[in-house]
Amino acid sequence: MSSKTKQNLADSKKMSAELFCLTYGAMVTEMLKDYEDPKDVTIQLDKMGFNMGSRLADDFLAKNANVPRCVDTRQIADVLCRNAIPCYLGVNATVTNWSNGDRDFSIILESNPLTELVQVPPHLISAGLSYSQLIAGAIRGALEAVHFKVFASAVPESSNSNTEIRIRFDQVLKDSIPAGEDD
Amino acid sequence: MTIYNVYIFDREGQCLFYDEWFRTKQSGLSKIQEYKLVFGMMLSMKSFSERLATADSNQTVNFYKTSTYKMTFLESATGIKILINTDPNANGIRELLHKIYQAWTETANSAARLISSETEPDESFLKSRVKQIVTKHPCYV
Amino acid sequence: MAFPFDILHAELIRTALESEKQRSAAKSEFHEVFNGLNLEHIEDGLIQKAFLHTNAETKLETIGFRVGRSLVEKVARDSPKLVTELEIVKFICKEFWVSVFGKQVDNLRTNHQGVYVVQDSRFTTLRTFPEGTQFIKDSAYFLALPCGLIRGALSALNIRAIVTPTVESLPATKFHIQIQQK
Repeated sequence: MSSKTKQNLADSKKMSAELFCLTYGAMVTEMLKDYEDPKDVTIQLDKMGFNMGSRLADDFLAKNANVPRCVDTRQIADVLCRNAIPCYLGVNATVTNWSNGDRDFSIILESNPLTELVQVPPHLISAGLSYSQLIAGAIRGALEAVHFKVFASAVPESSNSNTEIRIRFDQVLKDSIPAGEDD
Repeated sequence: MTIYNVYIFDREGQCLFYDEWFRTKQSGLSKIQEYKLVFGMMLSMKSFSERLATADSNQTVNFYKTSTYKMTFLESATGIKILINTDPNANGIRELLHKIYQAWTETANSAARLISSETEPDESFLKSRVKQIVTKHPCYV
Repeated sequence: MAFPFDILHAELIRTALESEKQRSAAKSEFHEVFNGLNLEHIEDGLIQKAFLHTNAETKLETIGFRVGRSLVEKVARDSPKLVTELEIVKFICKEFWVSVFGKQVDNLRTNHQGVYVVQDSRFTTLRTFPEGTQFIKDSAYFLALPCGLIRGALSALNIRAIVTPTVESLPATKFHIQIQQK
């Protein structure tokens, strides 16, 4: 590969990140106009994230045949940080703050691509806008698709710190069996 | 070597897709009935084999084989189940199933499906993709 | 690594359509209540004005416009100064298109009177549609934001234009760029 094509490739990756993040920013701005309460925007972002996550789950599994099937929260956290988040957000993530007998944990994003190009006004944050809730919603949606029910929220970002997603494991979901069949 | 037919089920047991290539004998059941039985058998085999498992570990049922055919299973972590009937000595079927899963995912995430959940999945698109994958496999014909 | 733009875009379209539906439902409900009041002296268009709402496509186009304005700054940063209208449109069809939509356009034509027709035989947001004519109506939603992107990019380069898409058979798309005289 010539250095020029390489350069273009790197550029287009960067552009896709910029297209994604700017579109997200413009979308949030529009939503703030539509909803009076920034808290409602957070709820909406969580919903959108959830829908995206449940679709990304199959996409991720289809592309990564070698990812082992998770049986506990430690493994889930590991796959999220090591494979899924770098794959879709292009950043590294680490897991920390285990508590409640491994039911609660935090994922720390090394940097947050969503907030890289935008400045979220502090008054909106204090009014309840959680700008990165899309990521938390996506994690919740993706895990629910693989039968793990969790609660996930983006810890309100204070300027200059890493983004933290707090996750609480709720329960393992069982597939419903079609009527007339016994387990 | 032959690849006979394939079923794709969602996690509720709804048959999302079916196609066949060299299936010369039909089951004599209505399609719906056949789908139900195939899915039910798979569930039963899963729970039966779990009960009989000799160690407490995460196990999967991979296939069953008769003297004339082999039915191979794939279940994704999201609960999508793909079953394929082939010649008993066919190999590389696991990879084939994964490719079909990829094709299914792409169709499920295609633009037409993403905005309207009411729209019937475009069968012909998936059908041609699956056919492409299956006919390319060395075990086809 | 790939940002799931397609999935964000689809989710954006879904939400825009949903809120359009909610608003038109609210509007007709209000109509009923309002008609019950029998206030004849109120000007006819008032309700329409009071509830002037943008439809899903307009909303998506607006988002695209804003994004296009910022994106073009990043693409044009290292390029030589663009002077003529033709140079600018060519730049949009080459560098901008490649960076944002991942490929070059297949054809660009102009009547030299401010109308440009850009042809893309496999436009990125339509590439996962089944080929043919079945989904042409749905595909319009997937072109609103891209049209905004193009209009926004042109606007940042000082060209006011109207951008409209036509689709005859998916996933091929034609964009008509009509330059507005200053």
